[in-house]
Amino acid sequence: MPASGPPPLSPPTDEHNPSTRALPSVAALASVIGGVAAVAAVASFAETTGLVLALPAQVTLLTAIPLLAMIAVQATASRPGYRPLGALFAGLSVGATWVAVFTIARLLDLPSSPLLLWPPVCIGLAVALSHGFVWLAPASVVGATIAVASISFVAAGAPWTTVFQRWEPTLMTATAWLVLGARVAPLGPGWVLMIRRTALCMLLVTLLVLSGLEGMSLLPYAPSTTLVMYQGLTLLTLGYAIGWQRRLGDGVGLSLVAVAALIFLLGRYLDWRSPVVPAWVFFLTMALVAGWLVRRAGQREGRQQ
Amino acid sequence: MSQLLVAALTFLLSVGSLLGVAAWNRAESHTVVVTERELPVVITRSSARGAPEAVALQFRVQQRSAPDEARLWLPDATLRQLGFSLGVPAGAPEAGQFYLRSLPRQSWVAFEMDGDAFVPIARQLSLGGSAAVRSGASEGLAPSRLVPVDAGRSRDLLQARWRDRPVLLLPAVIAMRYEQHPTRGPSVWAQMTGLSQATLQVPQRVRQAMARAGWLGSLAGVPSEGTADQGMRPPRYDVVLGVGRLGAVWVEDVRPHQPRP
Repeated sequence: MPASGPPPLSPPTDEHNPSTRALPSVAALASVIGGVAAVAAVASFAETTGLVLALPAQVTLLTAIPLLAMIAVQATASRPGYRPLGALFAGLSVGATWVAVFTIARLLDLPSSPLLLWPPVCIGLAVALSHGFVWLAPASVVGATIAVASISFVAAGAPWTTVFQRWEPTLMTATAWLVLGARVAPLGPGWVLMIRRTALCMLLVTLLVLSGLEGMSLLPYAPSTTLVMYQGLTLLTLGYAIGWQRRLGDGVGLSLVAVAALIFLLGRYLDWRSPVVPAWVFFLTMALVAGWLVRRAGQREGRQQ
Repeated sequence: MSQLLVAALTFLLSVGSLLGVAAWNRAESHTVVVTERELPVVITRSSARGAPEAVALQFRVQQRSAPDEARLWLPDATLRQLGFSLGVPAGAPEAGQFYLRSLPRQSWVAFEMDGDAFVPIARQLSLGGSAAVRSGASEGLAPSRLVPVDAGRSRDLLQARWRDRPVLLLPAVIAMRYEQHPTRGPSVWAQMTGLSQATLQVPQRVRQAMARAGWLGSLAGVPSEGTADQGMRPPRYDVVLGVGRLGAVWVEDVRPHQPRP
């Protein structure tokens, strides 16, 4: 009989396979910073060369950089000792793809469209899958969420950028990712965790925007009513998410929810000011929550030792 | 390896699609001529004194966004065609919330270049001009003569409606506005909030020609223009725009300004 219940928290990583082995956290962080810096260099280079190169040369250059980065990934990711370098090149190839697609569309005077999001999303997922660089996938998940959410606005005749002004479609898509995230387990180790944390982040950010800013909702009610409705929903979601993450034993997920809860409480305190909640009650609550988090972290470290 | 191959092929296919769409758009085109007033140069620099990083041409159009003016080219019938719901009277208590919640619409807008619609604006200018009319006058450049005259959901529909008169059709975003004026009372109207293709790239050949002619520099020293644009600098160049079958616009050429007879 197949096992039921939540997926395993830390799926077994194949430590003997050099092409999918997880990176040490410092190496992963250095790779991310290196990748981001390299992408920024590519974006700046593409902007500057626009003044000296003709259109065909610019397009060729923008196309060649991600392809060369992909070749570099293939050459380095499987070699012992070179995996962090492979991670850096993987980040560069995905970031350079985003830069290339949007810059080429701009150079050709084509209007921006949500369709432009799909190629970098697919390429990001393919590169992440190729050598187990799961940390690259969140950008693709966020890109796919925005692309899917913007379809509803395009279908209604509104500009696709309305997705950043009315947040319900993003909320629905993030919830769908959260519900369906467990289905990606066959993709490889760490994918379930990555999808769940990314979707949780998107859900919490969306709820914080909807519960804190007026005019961000599609609901046909007065802005003040909508805010109160979403504040109630955010409270319920935060409470459920804390319980859920505790049951799963996911410390990172729990920290994400705790940070969102603190931002939410701080926002409400700034909204309502002291007549409703005295300052000392608010700050004492925050201190207690922080103390509880510190205590939890200490217990976790103790268990690990 | 196979996933990386898929990624590389997807990327090449995407770039190929973009080039294909651009080529298909430009395969069947006509041209429209505007001036520096409508398409001034925008130079991006990394810092205030840094070297130029990018050169582009940015559309400047007359907004006609004041309620009285906006209703001339965006009447209720046009707004209904665009998909706006106008069922709530401006005086109703819920009107403010209803219209402010209304989603903006992606539309096509017909712009007339220096035509009949510009005559009342020129008259206003000769009388001193309102801030709205003179808006966007960078470096003392005369106001744009590109005036919105109509809007529609489909480009073909708008093209058929304006078959006999030369207009430039551009994709733009139109949104509802509501205002509770202390003396005039409540007012509902629509306005253009932005062009979808506000900036155009300058091809290298054209950019070099513009640099040789000194058009990428400041307007200082250029003599002022008389008549309607009194005290303003005249345009230095004309831009030949290509308009493709998808409606996407590009810069074909830039040449010295030829005043209209």
